[in-house]
Amino acid sequence: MATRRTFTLAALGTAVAAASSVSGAVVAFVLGPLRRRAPQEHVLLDAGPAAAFEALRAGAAAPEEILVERTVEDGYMTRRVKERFAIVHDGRAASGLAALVTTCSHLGCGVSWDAGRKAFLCPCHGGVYGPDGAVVAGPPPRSLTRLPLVVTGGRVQIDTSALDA
Amino acid sequence: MKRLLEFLESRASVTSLWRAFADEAVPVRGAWLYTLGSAALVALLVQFASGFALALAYAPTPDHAWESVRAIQTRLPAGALVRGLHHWGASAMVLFVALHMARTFFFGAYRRPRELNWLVGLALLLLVLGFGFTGYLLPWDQKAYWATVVGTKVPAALPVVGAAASRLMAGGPVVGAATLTRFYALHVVLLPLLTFAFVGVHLLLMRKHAHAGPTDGPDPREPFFPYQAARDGAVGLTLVLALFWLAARHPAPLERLADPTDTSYVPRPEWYFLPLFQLLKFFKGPLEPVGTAVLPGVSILLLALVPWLDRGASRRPRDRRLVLAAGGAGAALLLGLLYFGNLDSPKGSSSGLDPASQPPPDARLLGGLASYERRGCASCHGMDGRPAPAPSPGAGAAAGGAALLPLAARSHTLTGDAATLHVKEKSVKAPAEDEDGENPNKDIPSLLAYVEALGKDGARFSALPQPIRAGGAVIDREDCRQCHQLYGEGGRRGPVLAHLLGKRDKDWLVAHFKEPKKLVEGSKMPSFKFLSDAELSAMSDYLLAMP
Ligand code: HEC
Repeated sequence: MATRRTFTLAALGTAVAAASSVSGAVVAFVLGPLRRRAPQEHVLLDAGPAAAFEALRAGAAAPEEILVERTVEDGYMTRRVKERFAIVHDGRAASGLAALVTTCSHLGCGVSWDAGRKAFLCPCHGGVYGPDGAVVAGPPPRSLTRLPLVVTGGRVQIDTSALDA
Repeated sequence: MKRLLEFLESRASVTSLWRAFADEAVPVRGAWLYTLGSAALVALLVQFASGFALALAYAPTPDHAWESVRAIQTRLPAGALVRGLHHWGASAMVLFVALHMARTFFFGAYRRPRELNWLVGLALLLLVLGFGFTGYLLPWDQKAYWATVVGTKVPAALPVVGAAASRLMAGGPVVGAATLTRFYALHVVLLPLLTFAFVGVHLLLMRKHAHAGPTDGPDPREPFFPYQAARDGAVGLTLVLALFWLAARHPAPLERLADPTDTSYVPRPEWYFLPLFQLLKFFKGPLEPVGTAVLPGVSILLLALVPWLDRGASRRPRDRRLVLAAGGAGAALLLGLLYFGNLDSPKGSSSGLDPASQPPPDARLLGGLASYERRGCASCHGMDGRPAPAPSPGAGAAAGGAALLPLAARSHTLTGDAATLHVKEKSVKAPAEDEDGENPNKDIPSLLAYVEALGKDGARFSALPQPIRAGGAVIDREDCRQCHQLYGEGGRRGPVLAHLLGKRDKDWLVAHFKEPKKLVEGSKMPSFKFLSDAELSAMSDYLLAMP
């Protein structure tokens, strides 16, 4: 038999169910960015003619910073942005080269090569990375992200498939 | 009138509500200290009003945010004032909420039965800081971008949830379009709604339990209206006047458009986040979460628990030594961190418009400035028409044989042909004749326009960034206005030169100057390959800076 009590419970339950389904939809939307996109297959970015990096390949030149245009998914839009990479010597790679992402692993400031100190310096909290991108001093928890380079048809190309997973 | 009041009373109890509001018995002792809370409320109302105005003209996308803020700051009527009020109002909010809280703490007014209202107040403090953090990004200038890059990376060092928290804040792997829409939605929808609700509850609870009053001794009371209302009003009015003064004298800053490829920018947080920023310097490596999460979290938790930690019968300071000492130590620590954070931060222009973010002056004036310098006008009239003060009496006369003549800040006696003649005669270096036999004095109209501008508003052009100055001068010299409109003036054979930022980038512009036909099929624009790379690049900088 329906009593005041069962009515109250039923009404309350319905209200809670309705409210939580709306909130559920909203929360799912808010948490959306947690979903990672499937890693892209070998997206190659042109970094310039191989000849330009000959000395660097032989390990006889300082890292070189380059700006490369890249297509990124930026929130609701896809756009071309310029990104800064440092091309460094890498004895173990077939190409003799690797690209470092010039974003400090500490809090994301941009690092740049200091020819005097022969190191990548972060202007924010004094992080220092060696020519290979390994942490030398300061707060950074990890070395700079390293991307493989391939040389095809006389051009050096950065393999960005490991980026922004 | 009486009938209207009777009507409102019978339909909405307006008169009774007013009586209840006006007759509340408030403490007489320490009455001025009770104005801190209402000052925070006044600042909040200023934020609501000015924020609404700003939202009318603001566009939360990386392509337009900075432009729209620059338009607010430099072009829209009262825009700089409204933005200034909002900027300084934010600091006032934090300041008064903190002072109000310190007062409540000292008085022990969080004691039973007011525990809940203390918690609501603490939540309001956190909401205000949330406003500060989300609002900082919106102008999308260098400071906004880099401070947010750091701010969203801070939680990344937390174990387990760090990466996800950082990703959720930024709305993706990096700070970008999604971050801006997220912060905007929080700043203008969620936080105001919560704040509104919490302020309502805060005021209701305050009325329910009345003021706690002085910590000991007699506690005489008087009706809120008119005595306390007058005090609250006086403090609120002073605050509003101070905000107007600050907005007028120290405009809200706007730096260059955010540049994610800049590797030299050192972000500097707003003053109320400096203590936190400073903590980062003490806790490095694996200890970092101690500085970013544990310490702030524990402090907030302790603050929240204060009503239950301090529950004696007496509110007298001398019976609460331990609690007050702990609170004082906390405040001293905070102020110390603020002080040292301020010492350590890079000194930059913390207020005012970065010259690089201002719309550049008309190219004609910059052409005039270039010929002012080329013709050596400064030797008699000084930089920007302001002669440097003579180092010793008589030195000015010795230098040029004539007194130094300021051009700024006075109306000129020479006009028309007389002025042209004066320029031709007095030029220290007459310009060499162009190889294609162009009129060597074709720069004089621009020069005179420049001098005119100097006299009119005392403008200072020599402080502009070099590329902007040089670029404007080349555009004037090459007479792009034959075909293009700039600032509403010029020919119509080519498109109007405005709003190029976001549409073209520097590489495109330089390539287009060199070979217009290569980039735009059938272009009628002549090639400017003969200009130096530096000049082409400066012209692009100038055009991209144009509104
Ligand atoms: C003889 C007329 C003429 C002169 C002089 C001229 N332009 Fe142009 N310009 C054009 C025409 C026509 C176009 C449209 C076709 C094109 O984009 O190439 C154009 C296009 C442009 C564009 C591209 C605008 C857009 O929105 O895509 C820019 C930038 C520009 N001109 C800058 C300049 C500058 C700077 C100068 C002076 C150094 C200059 N122009 C001188 C005729 C001229």
